[in-house]
Amino acid sequence: MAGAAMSRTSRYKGGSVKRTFAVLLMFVCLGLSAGEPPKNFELAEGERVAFVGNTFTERDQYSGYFETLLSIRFHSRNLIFRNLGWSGDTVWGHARSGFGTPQDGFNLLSKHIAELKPTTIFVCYGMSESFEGESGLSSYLQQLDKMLDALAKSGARLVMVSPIKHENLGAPLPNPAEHNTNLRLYIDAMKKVAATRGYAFVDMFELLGEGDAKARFTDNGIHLTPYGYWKAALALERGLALSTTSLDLSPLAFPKTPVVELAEKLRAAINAKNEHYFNRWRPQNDTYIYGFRKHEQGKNAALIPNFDPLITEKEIEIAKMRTDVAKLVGGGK
Amino acid sequence: MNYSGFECRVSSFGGVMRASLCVLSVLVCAFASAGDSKWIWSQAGESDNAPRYIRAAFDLADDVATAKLIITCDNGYDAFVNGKAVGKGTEWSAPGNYDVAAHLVKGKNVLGAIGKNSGGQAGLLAELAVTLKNGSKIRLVSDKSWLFSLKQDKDWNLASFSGGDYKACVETADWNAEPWNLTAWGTSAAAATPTAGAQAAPAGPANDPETERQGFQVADGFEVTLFAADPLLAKPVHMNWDNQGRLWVVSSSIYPQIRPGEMANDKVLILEDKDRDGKAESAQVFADGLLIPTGIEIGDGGAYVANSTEIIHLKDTNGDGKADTRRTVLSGFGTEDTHHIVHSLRWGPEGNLYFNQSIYIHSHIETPHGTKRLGGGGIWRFRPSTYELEVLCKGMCNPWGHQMDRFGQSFGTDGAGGDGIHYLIPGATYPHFPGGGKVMPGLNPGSPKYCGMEILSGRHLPDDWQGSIIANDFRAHRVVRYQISEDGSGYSSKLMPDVIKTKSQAFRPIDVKMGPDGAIYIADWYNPIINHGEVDFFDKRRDRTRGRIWRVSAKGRPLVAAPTLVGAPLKDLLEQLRAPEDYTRQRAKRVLAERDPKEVLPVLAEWVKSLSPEAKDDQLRLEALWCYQTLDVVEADLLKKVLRCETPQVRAGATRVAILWRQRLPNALELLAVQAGDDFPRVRLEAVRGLKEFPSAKSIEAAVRVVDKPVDRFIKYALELMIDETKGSWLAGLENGELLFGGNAKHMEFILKAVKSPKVIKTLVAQLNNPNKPLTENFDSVVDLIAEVGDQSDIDTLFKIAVAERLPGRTAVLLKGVHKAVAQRKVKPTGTLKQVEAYFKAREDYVATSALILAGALKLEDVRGSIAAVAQDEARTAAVRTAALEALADLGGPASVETLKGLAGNGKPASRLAAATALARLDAKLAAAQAAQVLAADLGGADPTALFNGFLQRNNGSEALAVEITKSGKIPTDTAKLGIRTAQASAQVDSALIQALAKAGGVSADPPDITKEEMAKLIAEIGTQGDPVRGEAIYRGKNASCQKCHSIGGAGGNVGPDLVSIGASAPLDYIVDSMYFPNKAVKEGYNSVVVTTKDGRILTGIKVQADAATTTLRDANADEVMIQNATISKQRNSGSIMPAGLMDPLTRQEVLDLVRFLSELGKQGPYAASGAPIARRWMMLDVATDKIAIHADPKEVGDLLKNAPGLKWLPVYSHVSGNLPHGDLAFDTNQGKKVSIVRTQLDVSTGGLIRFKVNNAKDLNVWIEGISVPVKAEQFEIELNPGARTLDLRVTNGGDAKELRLELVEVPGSRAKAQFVTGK
Repeated sequence: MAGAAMSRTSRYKGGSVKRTFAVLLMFVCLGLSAGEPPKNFELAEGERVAFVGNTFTERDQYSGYFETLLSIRFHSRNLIFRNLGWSGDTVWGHARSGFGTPQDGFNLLSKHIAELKPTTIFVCYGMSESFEGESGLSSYLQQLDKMLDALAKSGARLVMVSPIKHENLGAPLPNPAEHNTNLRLYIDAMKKVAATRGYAFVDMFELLGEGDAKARFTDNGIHLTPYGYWKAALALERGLALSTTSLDLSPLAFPKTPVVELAEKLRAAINAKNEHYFNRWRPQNDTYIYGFRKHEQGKNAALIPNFDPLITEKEIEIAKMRTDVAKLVGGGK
Repeated sequence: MNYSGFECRVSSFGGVMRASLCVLSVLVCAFASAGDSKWIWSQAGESDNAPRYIRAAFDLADDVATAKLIITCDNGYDAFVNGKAVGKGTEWSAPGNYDVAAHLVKGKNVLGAIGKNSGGQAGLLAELAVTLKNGSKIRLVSDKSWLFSLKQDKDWNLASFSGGDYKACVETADWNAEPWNLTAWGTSAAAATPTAGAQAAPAGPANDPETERQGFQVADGFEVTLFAADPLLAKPVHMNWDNQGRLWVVSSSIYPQIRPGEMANDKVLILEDKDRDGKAESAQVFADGLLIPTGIEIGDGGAYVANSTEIIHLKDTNGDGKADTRRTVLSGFGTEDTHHIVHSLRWGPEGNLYFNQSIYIHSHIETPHGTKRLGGGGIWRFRPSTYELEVLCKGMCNPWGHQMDRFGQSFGTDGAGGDGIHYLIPGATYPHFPGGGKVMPGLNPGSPKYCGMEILSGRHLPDDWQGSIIANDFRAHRVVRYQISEDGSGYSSKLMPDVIKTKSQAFRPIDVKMGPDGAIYIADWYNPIINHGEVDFFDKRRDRTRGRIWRVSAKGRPLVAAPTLVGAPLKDLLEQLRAPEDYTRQRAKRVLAERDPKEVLPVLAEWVKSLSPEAKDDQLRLEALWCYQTLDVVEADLLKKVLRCETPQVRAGATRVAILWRQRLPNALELLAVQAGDDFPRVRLEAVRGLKEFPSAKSIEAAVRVVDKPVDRFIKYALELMIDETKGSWLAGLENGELLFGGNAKHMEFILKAVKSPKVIKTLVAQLNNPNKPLTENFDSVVDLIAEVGDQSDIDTLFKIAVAERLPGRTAVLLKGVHKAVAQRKVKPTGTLKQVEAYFKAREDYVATSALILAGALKLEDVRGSIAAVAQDEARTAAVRTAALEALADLGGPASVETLKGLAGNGKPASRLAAATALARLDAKLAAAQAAQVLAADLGGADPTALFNGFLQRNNGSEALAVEITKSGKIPTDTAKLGIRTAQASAQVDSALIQALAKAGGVSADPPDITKEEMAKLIAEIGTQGDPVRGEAIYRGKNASCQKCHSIGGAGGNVGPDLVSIGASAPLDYIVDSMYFPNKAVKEGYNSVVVTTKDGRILTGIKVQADAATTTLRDANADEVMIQNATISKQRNSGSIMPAGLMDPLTRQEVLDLVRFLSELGKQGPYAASGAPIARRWMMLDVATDKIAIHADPKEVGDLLKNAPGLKWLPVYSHVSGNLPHGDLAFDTNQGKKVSIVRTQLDVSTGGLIRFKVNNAKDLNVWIEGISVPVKAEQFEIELNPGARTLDLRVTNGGDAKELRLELVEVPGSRAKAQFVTGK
């Protein structure tokens, strides 16, 4: 069944041996060539997929395209997707530091990963850091290593996703030439790290590229529009060497076919699930619920897990819909 | 612990008043009642917890159309109509809401209720609202005409019943009074999910807008009318007017927290008043599905909305009035606290979008220019077209107000800080920014907290209101006005009579904007509960359905015809920039921003050409510059002209333009250098802020020229800030002698004092060491600076000067300076250190103390004998002997242990305590054994607090003391109580010590607890028996010692929060809780930190500043303790620094009085916050310890006051009323005449003639800076230069005056600006 909320970790106790095996098996089956797009990327039954990263990742939860495509493609499998993106984050954990230091933010991410026990993690860092240019590269790579070590501790397979290209939207927005040179520098270095570590690597800079005057991918050069996210989902699929989808969910496509309308309903359910999950893992007022003023509202921490059944409910809905859509689209597993 | 006050609560409740028999004939009477429901209960004292059978009979003249019953009872009820059970409830804060139309009949009816109580105060509250078929409306409210019986008679709740033992009920409180404060009366039964614009909240008797409006007291000549109210809108948070004159409002019913299962469905509403009758007739839901939106600004074809973690742009592309596209513009704003999340969106006049965040928010925003981060309060500046994002200024707890005046200057208000209006300087840091730094305070220290602000302009308002600032004192239910005037490079701001005030507990003005018609509009959040820290997120008393927009207009003055901007020809649009209304000019530029620049630019150029070259059109040229900025076109020629135009405020505005265009101007630095020499101080201020953008020797040389002209506090701050920000670029040049500031000594001196570089400090040392020209100005700060950064030879010199100095005041400063270098940086002087011994015998205690402490820190073994002699000399004062004991502890070693042990074993209790305290530093175990012996004896009034603290502040110290106290077995009860209190106040709460003390002292150490019932009872009694006048005396008294840590309106300690409006903002139970359980709810910014140092000390305090090298804590004595980070072994966050057990010494009556007093603070009445310029913070001369000739003639006393720095002064504060009672002063008697000298300080920001008024001039002498000033007819005046000025007053007791009151009065024609210094 589809709807297990991930935070109910007790469900998965005792499953670690099986999981490790499953992960090993996957690596064998996928014939991953490190630092390159993997061949035949697959999500196995029961996988838990986490997205970790910066603004790119955080905002993806409102688009849901990538998750929708994966859900349809692997419609017969019970999969769980959790978005742990945080705007402005770095491999140090800056955006997660709250009242503390980046190290506290880094630890918080490690804690969330430990609770989630993901089997696959998409790691999307490098945008914020790339503004530091060449002089920031070596400390970035050092810290990237620490981040990857910490994530790898979960036993999950890691897939590294590069930042996108800084799209040239013309004046008055900044000319991205220099930033793109730096991005390339960072991405090439990341690619080497992935190769050394044997992780899959998706070069979004290359795969997505830039939009044209009629349809831009971003609205400020570095952050995707809904259309950009649709194209990014397709690019990610290409990066994972997945076959082309016949489903066109582009927000620019019109009119909507019945299958697209159905898929859009699925996507809406996925986004609603993600909204519940956001309120679950990043509740507002956390200073009062968990932090140094918890003596005031800490009792309300007990309410937060009540988001779990709501997530489960949505996942049951998603499970039904993804199969319906898959039937119409054809293919998938 | 002694909480006997609570234990008797049940027996004392209700007294034994017998019910008087009431005649049944008053029974049918409630129909005409215009008053509101009362809480009612029986008079009978017996059987407190037995049910009451309550009935009200009434006639109805026709059949019933509708009937609604709202009822509640503390603790429970069963409700009946004509014998039919209609509902029951057990939660008093959630009244039942029942449709009872089916049970009522034409003719006789009876409403019955069984009221139940389970302890504490009981009460029943009800209202029945009936509409008859004939259209008449009838309200029946609970009051004393209702009857009760303790017996359940058969058919008691039927109309046919008569007889029984029924008596009249007693009205115990108004519906909205304490202890229930059920302000949301009538709403609680409303559906849980309100939808703005759709679902109406049920009508409550007290909650209709007209009732609220009737309660407003409005400023003379003004009136308030309703623009919009529920159900048209609910819970307005923030608003702005659009180009068409429609009001956009963000509304949140979810605030403060989304509940699982509740969908985020907060809204953006557009309120429209098409027929311009001052009342909105429609509310269009522009967007929904939002999560606690807290800010809105209209532009770029839609609206920017602050929505939790993001700022989004919503657009209606198909013209149906509903947003259909949603774009995330910026994301990554923190949500650590929903009353802090990104808010207060507004356009600047130059086309940038500004928004604010509050203190707990940590934001990390990726932009195409890099990632911008801000942790703490502050204001962002954002350019939507380029995505440039930067911080305008940092600080303020909750900067919930930000407006810019017609010259582009920014002002802000703080919803949790107490500085009133803030003048915002770009790049400055305001109070409460985490980590501190140099802080620019606001303009009105000691003010209540404000939400929202607006600057007034336009033809509808009278002349004397132009340029005023409106702010909302949301806690005290009032809207205030400040008059703003020029004050040097900044402004001063003066509180004027209130705009609106009311007793309604739900009136919560939180936003204010000028409307297109020139009237003032106020958003009323309408809620009895405002915060979320102290009251549960989901507390039922939170209103989630109501909200109002009020219009304040001037009676008899015509409104302004709303301008037509959208679609107007370009030329007309530019002409609108002449409008006196800020709204019109601002929105005209927004319309311009959305037109095609290619069309706008030529018309704009023409328009600029058409302007008069004279000064009268300078303002318009600034508007034109802003148009160019809005269009993002640099117009250097026009800028150059405006930078040097005749109108000074316009030159300042243009300087800001130059700063923002700096990267696109060829010669920005040169332009700013010229501005730095301007005649108008604000232009110089702006220039300094701009020059910091060009870090270099050239820019600092240009900036420091501002010291050639008068330097006020704003310019001084700006220059010091610039020095900090840019010194990396020129300090090396200064140190190696390349940067010489053209040999200008004044320039050099300012820089040297600010940079604190060890290399350049030599110049200051040389100045200090110049025997021919002794340094007289800033002596203390120069010594301090050398102590902080001087190297070995500098400290050697400092010591050499110290031992040669003959003026006692200067000697002490020098000795302390040397000690600071030794203690904080381990820089020890070399040379003949023994010379310090000579000062041990100094006549002045403060010199001897400083010398002894220094000798200890220097570990001068060869003066050990003298130190020990002082320690044992009964003739010396306690302070000197304690210093000697501390010095011995510093010396350490077996010899010190031996001496201290001996002293702890013999002598008077006070000296023994002090010796044991010192010994604890050397050998905690041995000291504990000695201490236990002293503590077991009668201390004869000696205070053991320092001893307990001594042990608590040592690692393992308190454990050792606990062991020894347990061994010794018994100590006096009072000593044990003091010890327990000290231990509980310590952040290092040691339960073993507390238990040992409790056992030995035979007292209870159990933490106190107040049950719900006890609280209700206490609260009821506070209202009926508490006396605020007595309460103020207790507040000021020694037993409660509140003033030591808290201030009211700036007067008092700064360890805890200012209590100026605590009564108006906090519910009674919160006040009581905070006093008994300080850790339950700690005010933001007042959490303490516990630091353990590597040498085993434990320090507790509030972190006031921390940088890479040092951490500064403000401890419970308000002393600021700086700790080198390298010496810290661990630190952790802790709770409140306020000790538990402070209420112990108070009787129950005193508690009632004290809480009553606090509960009145800030409410309308004698304890309301007064902004009047009255001296509230005084120091009185300690005549007991410093026998000086204070009776001498004024000349002599004046010299004494000016030249005797060793005089001891004790803090004393005026009453909330502003009067300083003679009873609180120390008087000295000479030849039968009793006199006292009190001192206060004045901060003069603009120099000139300043006039003071006193309440009684008889036998009064006044000195200002030591110069005697004559007093005539209760007034005196003097010309003063800017800076801190000291006033001394000699008052004589025995005359008519029983109190002293000193206030500033305005002098017509004088430019002078001054305010009394506040603080501890």
